[in-house]
Amino acid sequence: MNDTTVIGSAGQVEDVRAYVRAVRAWLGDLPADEVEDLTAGMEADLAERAAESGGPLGGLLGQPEAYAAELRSAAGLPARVDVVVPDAVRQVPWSDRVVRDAHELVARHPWLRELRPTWWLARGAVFGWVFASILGTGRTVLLPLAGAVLSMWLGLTLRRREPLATPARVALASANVLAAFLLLPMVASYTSGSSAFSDEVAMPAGYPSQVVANGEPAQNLYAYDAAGNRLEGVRIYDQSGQALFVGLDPLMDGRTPDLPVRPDDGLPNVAPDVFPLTWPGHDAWQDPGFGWTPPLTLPPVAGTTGVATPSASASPSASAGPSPSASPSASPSASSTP
Amino acid sequence: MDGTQLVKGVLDLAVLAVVAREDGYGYDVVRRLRAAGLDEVGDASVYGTLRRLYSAGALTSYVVPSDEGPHRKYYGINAQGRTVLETQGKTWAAFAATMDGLLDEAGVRS
Repeated sequence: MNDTTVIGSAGQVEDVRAYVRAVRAWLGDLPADEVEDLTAGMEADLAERAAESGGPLGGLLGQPEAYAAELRSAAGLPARVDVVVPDAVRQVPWSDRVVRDAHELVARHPWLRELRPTWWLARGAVFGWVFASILGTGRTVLLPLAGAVLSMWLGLTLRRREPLATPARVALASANVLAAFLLLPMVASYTSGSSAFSDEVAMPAGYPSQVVANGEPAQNLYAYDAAGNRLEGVRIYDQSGQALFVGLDPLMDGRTPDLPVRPDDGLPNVAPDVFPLTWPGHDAWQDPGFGWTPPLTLPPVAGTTGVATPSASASPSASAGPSPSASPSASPSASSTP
Repeated sequence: MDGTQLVKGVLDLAVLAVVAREDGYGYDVVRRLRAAGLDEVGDASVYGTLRRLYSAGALTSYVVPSDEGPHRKYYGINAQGRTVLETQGKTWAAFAATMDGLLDEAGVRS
């Protein structure tokens, strides 16, 4: 007789507990005290067995179902009622059956247990992401990361306290289910950004970039030189050599009857990258209809003539001006400087 | 012949014999049975048998708490168990003697 309890590794202890839970589940149709009597001391016995042989219990003892059947047969107890019979299904609540099947699956494939920390990280990240979304911080990394760390800690702590009290187990299971449902939206939210990016990349190189000013697509650009004179037929490039263009859709609202259209696709036959936009029979400088008419001339830039001078920094748009949206608004404000 | 079937018929007797020598917990009894040569005995069969003998009043049972791990459940024999062991032991001895006689007549060395 040996009085010292053999303690196996943490993984073995888990394996034993899972096996015992599965066996108990298979005895679930017996009176509770009968199950208690049958399985009291079972964990100690199986732990010693596992520690001696070093393998997963499923391999040593066979399936929990068969083990439970052998146990009750040797104990002189009736064989389990077949759960497939509808009457028996009503006796065993579906939640119990799910739990039993899950325990059995883990007992059969102990490596599934190794995935638990991965799930802890994932579910923590999900809750971090949910918080980040509620707080409106957008696609952040910090909160999901903090959530993952917290969840990992929680998982490790709770594992040492198993078996948990019923309220804690229910809360944990609910949180896990919620996290599982939210996992997909989170992944989608993190990957949708990159897919939009790849759409841009998919455009042919050298395709002009549509100008956006103050978050709105610009519909036209009006350029003036440093002396304040209107410039015609201006083409603008950004720092990487991309020609800037504007969308022509607003022209097709029916308010421009003289708009030439291409016979093949009906789109405006107007160069979208030459400013101001122009076509035959149309005054390119006419009131665009936004409460502002391009003036004939602007006050010249202080220091003038377009040569880079120290004062030129006060009006960056006039000389360097790759940002076309700044020109209409920046120039008047420069003139108001005393 | 399948040894497992033979063991099943005498498992009560074997378990009683092991526990009669010294109290033991489930796996301890399994191990002692195997050490004695009953390799085919199944773990769950032994645990179930212990439980049944206890229910039948042939064994006593007590739990030994452990600080380091799960509690152990020990079984020991009582007066009724010893009576059963003696009776069944005699039955077995007679049965074995009968079988030996049969096999001897058939010229098989037992």
